[in-house]
Amino acid sequence: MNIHFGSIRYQYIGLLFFVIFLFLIGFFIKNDYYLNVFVLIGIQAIAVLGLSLLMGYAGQVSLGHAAFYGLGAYASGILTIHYGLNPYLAMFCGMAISALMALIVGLPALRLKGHYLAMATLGFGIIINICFKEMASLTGGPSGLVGIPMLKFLNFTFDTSISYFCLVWSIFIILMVLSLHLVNSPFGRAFRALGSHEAAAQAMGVNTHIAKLIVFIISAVYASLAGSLYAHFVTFISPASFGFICSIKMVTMVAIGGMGTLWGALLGTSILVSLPEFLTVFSDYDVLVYGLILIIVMIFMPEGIVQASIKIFRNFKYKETNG
Amino acid sequence: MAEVLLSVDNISKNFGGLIAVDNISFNIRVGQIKAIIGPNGSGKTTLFNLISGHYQPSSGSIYFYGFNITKWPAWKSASVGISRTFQNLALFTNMSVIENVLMGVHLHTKAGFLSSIFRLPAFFKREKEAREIAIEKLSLLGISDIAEKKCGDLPFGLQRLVEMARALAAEPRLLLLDEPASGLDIHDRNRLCEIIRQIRDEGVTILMVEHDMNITMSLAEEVIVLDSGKKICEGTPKEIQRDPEVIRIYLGEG
Repeated sequence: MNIHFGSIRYQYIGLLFFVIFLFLIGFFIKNDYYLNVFVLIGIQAIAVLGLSLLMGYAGQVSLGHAAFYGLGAYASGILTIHYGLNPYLAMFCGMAISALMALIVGLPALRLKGHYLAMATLGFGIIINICFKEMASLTGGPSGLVGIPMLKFLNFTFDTSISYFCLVWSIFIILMVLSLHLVNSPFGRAFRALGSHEAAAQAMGVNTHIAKLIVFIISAVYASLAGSLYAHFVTFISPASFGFICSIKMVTMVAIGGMGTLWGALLGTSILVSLPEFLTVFSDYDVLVYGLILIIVMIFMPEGIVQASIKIFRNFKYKETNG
Repeated sequence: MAEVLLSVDNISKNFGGLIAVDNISFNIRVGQIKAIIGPNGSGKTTLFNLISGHYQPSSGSIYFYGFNITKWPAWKSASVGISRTFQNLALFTNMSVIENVLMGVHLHTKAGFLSSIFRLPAFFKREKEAREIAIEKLSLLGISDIAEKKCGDLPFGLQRLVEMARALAAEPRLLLLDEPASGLDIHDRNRLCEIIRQIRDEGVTILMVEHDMNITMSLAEEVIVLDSGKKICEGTPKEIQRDPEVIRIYLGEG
């Protein structure tokens, strides 16, 4: 039998297994600390999912995605605390602001060939982070913004770890399904085409400039949503969480998990967010271990862990049927 | 005399100080197979990129069905029926064969963003129709059996055919083939000639760059000879072979 891991049916099956896995975690893990780690993985995974669309499919790199993550978080924080806005409305405003910012940054940067988006977003990320620090009357400055309200639905408040766990992962699953649909549609094919061979994509009638801009905006909106969810979860935000390192971490998560597969975004995020928890034995040397993992992955499986595993599995299958 | 499909008028392209294409003019009539030949570096591929819109000319104009398309970007030219293949294969290697061909089909199918991400019935209907067209194009080239294979895994000759199927799926009026026979063995070359004739018979006008003289002389109705970016001569294959200037370029000065 010929196995197409790309076909959407397999993706649905994978998703079903993943949902069962989440149910088991939610059911059996009673320790709030570990649940919180899973909530943070979920939040980060939403942002990385968007970045994966941009990097792994459209072939563009953003080195300032933490800025959109931060814009979402600060929009939620500022609009709810200072202006008493409904948290969901604030979340929506954050996404709209991020989309607008992505448009402004992407419009000139994506017109040029090469890695201009990486350069532009690098600068953009740093400028936004300075804004978070300096606009103290709104953002609370370097010490941060305290007392962000928790999310409520009717009379129910998402104040326990398990309730937020369910909320975040439900949103992730919905976005994952929509993203899988997107990459397996004419739009997604256009994105993948331009990531693979830009001139050929143009020859197939793809307006590559607009297509890149659209993916960039989508990825910014994902990051913004994740930022808002983060703000309402920890109820305290400070500029340090949205700096350059955070952007680099997000790029690393996509690269480790694998370009061109949305599952890679999930896997890369899970590894990098949970790693510090497992590495407490190495205490101060965790950065070294982290770097080592990145080096090993890049040398032995440059296409990422997900693709490498599929290849190993395929070869195994091939040997089994032919050997 | 058939209607003029594409008219290139005094077109030039400079890269810095280098003049890659120097004041070239010619016409292509509907239903023709026209070939461009010339030594390496004579500006053939640059001329192709100018027509397909991948390069913008430094001066001169290009008319397609009488419309001035000189300043059009490649995606816009593609949408009105100028399709092309590339000298060094340009398949989307991260996709399957049929997905590559679907990229061509999508030029003419509307795709709703919402119906795509929410998988509304309209999406499935369009997707099914698009796949049928893609399979039809692959069958035309006799490669519908590899539809689900990944492009990167295919031998070179097959990749060439896939690229051709992709270009055809865009339902072009003008098909630009950049060295379609390079890298093919003799068997595949003969098949390629048959396919190109078949495409022409279905009403597609073809402009090709080809090094293989046998293919060029047997397929093309008219040939343009370039040297150092200039047009040396233009005519039927017989006329070209008798032209003293062409003989000088190809055989060297005796």
